[in-house]
Amino acid sequence: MAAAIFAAGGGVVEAAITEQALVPADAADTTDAALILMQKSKARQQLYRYIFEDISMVLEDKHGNRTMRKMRRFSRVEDNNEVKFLILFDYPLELRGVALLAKYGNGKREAGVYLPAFGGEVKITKKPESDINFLGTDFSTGDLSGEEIADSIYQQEADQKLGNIDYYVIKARPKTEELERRIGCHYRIYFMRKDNLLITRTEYFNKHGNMIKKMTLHDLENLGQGIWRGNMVLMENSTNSHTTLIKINKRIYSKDYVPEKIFEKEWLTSNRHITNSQDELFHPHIRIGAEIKAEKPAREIKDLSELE
Amino acid sequence: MRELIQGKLRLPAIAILILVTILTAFGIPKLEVDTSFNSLISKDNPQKPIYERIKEVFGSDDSTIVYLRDKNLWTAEKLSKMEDLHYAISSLNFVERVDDIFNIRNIKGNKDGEVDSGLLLSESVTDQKAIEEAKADGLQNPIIKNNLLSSDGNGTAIIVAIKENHGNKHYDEMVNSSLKKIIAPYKDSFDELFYVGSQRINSELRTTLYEDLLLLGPLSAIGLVLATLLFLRSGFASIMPLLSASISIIWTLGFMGWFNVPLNVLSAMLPSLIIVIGSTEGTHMMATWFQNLYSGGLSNRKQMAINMMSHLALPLIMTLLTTTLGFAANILTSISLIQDFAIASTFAILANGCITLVFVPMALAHFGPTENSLFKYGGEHKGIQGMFIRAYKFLRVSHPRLLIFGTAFVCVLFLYQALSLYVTNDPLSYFQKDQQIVKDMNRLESDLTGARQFYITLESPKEKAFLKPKNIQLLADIQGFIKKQGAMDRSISLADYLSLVNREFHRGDEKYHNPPKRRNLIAQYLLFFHKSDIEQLINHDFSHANIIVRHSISDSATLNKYIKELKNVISNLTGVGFQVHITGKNLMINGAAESIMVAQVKSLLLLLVVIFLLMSLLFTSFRGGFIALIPNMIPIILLFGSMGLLGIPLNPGTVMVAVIAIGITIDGTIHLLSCYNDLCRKTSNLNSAVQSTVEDEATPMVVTSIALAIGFGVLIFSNLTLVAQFGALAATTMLFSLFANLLVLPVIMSRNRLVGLYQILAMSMDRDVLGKSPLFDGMSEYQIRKTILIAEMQEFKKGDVVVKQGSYSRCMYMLLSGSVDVIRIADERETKLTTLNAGEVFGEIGYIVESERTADVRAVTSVRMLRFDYDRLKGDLKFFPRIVALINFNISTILGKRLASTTAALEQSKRQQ
Repeated sequence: MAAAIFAAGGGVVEAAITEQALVPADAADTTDAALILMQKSKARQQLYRYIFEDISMVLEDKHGNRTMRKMRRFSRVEDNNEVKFLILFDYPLELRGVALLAKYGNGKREAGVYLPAFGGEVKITKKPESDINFLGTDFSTGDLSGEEIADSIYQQEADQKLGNIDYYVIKARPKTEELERRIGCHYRIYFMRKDNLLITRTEYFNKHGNMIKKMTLHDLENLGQGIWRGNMVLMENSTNSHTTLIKINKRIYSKDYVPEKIFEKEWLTSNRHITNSQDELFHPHIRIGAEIKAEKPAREIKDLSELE
Repeated sequence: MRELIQGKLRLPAIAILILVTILTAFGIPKLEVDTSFNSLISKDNPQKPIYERIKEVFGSDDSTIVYLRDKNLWTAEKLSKMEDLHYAISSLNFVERVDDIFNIRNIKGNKDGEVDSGLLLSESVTDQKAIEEAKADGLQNPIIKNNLLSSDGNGTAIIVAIKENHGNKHYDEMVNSSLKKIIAPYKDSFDELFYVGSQRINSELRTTLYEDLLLLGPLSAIGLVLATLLFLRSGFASIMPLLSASISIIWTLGFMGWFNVPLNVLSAMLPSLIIVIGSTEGTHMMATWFQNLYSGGLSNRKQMAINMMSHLALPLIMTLLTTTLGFAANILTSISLIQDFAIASTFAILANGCITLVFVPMALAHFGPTENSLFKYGGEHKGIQGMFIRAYKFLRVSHPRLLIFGTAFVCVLFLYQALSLYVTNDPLSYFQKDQQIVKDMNRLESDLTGARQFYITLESPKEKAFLKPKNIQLLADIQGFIKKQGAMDRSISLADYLSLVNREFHRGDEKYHNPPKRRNLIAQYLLFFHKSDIEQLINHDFSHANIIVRHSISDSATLNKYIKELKNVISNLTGVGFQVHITGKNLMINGAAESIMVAQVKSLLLLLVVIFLLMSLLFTSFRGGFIALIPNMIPIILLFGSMGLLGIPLNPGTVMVAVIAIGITIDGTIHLLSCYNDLCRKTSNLNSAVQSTVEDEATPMVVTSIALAIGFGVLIFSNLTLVAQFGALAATTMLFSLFANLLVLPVIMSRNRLVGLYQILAMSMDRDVLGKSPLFDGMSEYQIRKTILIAEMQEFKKGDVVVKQGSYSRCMYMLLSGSVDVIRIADERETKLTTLNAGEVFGEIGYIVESERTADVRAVTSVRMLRFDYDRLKGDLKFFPRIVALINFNISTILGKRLASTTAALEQSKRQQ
């Protein structure tokens, strides 16, 4: 999930990480080395299966005008590896109740949007991958769905040092034309921190080598036990000078916060997700009726070599 | 002038000429060229700050459109090429945004209720099925069809918004050449590929301007030389104007360089104007030189030059001033294009006039031609001038009323035609129709919506005003009216985008192709668009909405009419809740057409008033001013009528013809009236004076008019319609002015008497003698001079008989100089009654009552005297009532005194008997 926007930031810091540990000195094939790095990074980010996030989103146009949105985001990974996402808009009031539902995995992709003002049905999107600006943001649905490592060919580029931080630089290129359309760019360049394997910067390029947008992680927080998170994600669109900033106000790893039924269309069309007070707005469990139980990581990782 | 001709000031004058030429020549490299659209917009346009503000919010309306057409456009190969072009254009640093089928958003719903939102064409689509689907989607999308995609799908546009230019003087050229370079390699990949936009127009205007500058000047020079050779048969007369014009061109271009007056599309005419108009003074001088040569033979070049200038100096200065005034009148406009040209041309004409007035007489005094075949024939005038003279004789003698009423009728007819005159200021109309840029624009507009656009902006003081359904519906209603109006190609607003989503959310049902009726639904539909998709249509807080209107109207008058209509309707639709602005660069340029019209009317009126006052002063009566205006009005009426008749619009080029033509026509009028006044003093027969005037002035006037017509006429070879139309109309107007001056004016003149101020001022008068004359008793010096000029001047040699005893005539005389004897003859014996000296009057009895002269009056010395003819003075009563009344009063006094002295003499004689 290197590029998954809302999950970005989850991970384990391994103090003993060294370049030598990750990339064998005699590794001639930079492609293999890059793949290993990506796998390790992804393995860290999927340690949590149930995530609830309370999000503020700021859209800024080229004139500096800002628009504020608030939303809740739910995600869960089912036992069959199906990934489910739900984003619920809470603010501004005109958008309250708008929902974006997506399910990926096992070779299937499905997404739908629910507009309470239209009502009646969740409008299924046949080709969610074609939207490079989902719901008016600078993120594509490809950014939302996250990266399937099998979809791209990775190549390690020369390491870079930005500021005081050392990075692995990995070029990722979709394997097929269809995948390219889904991801929304010709190739990406990942900047993965050497110290925690967290990808904090992703640059997107078109086939002419022009950078079309850039995503960066900020306000990195060490959660302890080697877990880091980025509380802010900034996507800067180079083609129209528009930016989208996501600020994660609260993130809870709990199954109780992400009950299965909220991913059902009927639950959305019944408008039960539309809260009426601030209290309800940010405490969805009250409506869902589950207890709050903070989730622990699926497993403790003592050494990164476990992932190899 | 005398010193210049005699050579005393020759060297300093030449030194100054060389110095100024060198100084100004250093200014030429500083010359700037301005063909930008901004120079076409009125500086006073109140819309300009509003436009700038709106442009800040909704982006520039100044776009370049790259047009592609290919029968196999929707194949992977062609689309890949087009995509490459898209990225190549996008990578240019002056490009603000690019809109085409590769980044336009498409919303598509199907019968199953599924909705997809995304780019019409993603990067790297190679699957033909997906390509065909995208084509079908594009043609199904009303925002894309006819806007980015032709109705058959094979023509498409890449709309390129260019960043605002911040002070780069070569910005348009840079943009144009970059686009040209970027597009060139793709030309062979498509059946058609070109681009149109303001930068290309500006750049090609600049190129055409250079071509015109190189072409038109030499052409005018050739035309002038040919005309001069044809009519004056003199190489000297051909070369002199060219020499002075060449120097004037250096001076003018240098002046423009030093004083930051840029060259613009109208400047292409400058060399031609300088050569042609500048030649008129020289031609008049040459014609007079040859006439003097013919009448008096070559005595002394210097003396001839002095004589020529004493005769011509004042009229030439006057004509120079009026011509300059004609050009200067255009400075009143607020449009930089015209104003800059007016400044440059005013300087050019003035400079050329000064150079000509100073150096042609000097040159003539030293190298003036001593013979001329044309003036040797000694008979009647030949050629075109002869034709005019014969026509004048025929019309004056046989059909003067026919001429006057015929002219009046034609004028009324042309005035009526002038009512259909219209104004246009569309830059594309400056080009000839067969030029590629015009063809490209027509091609684009035949396939897609017009490349010209403007904005209708509705501003509410309330945030989120345009989330309200009624306001979205208002946008749709305005667009509905625009569609009903049928003049614009199309309009796009937020209502279109919302209608599209609404339709697609309702499974593509056309019934729902209208704006949603609920506020929340509007807001939620808008989630399907990125800000950049709709940034030209709605501002960040939804308080301001914009409707983009595209059109292909090139006629400013038509466009302005529709805009006015649109404003009224929008005002009724919106009520008081919104501020509405209809603006755009294209609109301001076209709106400037009205400024052109207003400025033209102002310039014309000002010029006519100034000329009326000048001529009234010059000919010492308002009657003179009025008479001078008539032959100047006729060509202008005929000009505007012709334009109306032929459908030639008023544009920044043609708009100047009228004032420039007046400035030139008045030259002929002044020359004719001056000549007529001079001749009137030498004959008591006004018709004969008019006839002589026409004969004297026909040659210079025909030569200058034909030369001007040829000189202006060559401008039709310009690549710019603007300049060609100016040339053709100015040439025609020169011929109209020839007709008005040589045929109509003389008929009017023959019924009037004028006295020139310059004659009054130039007249030498013995105050001691004339001041004491009883005829001038109670008159001011001005009145005395005027009286002298009204009267017929006669000169006699010693021994000549002025009055023959026994003859009959109703006239009296006043001696100006010399003396006469009054001798009575009786029984063959002569008795000298008295000797009369300067200031004395005789023959007054015959003046009052036609009676037999009782004595001879013979010149004792050579004498000059004024002859007061009763019939003529009676006629002059209506022209100079105050002066004639004073003369009659003084004659009465003289007669009274004479009667009293005669009575006293008789009584004394009786007493002696």
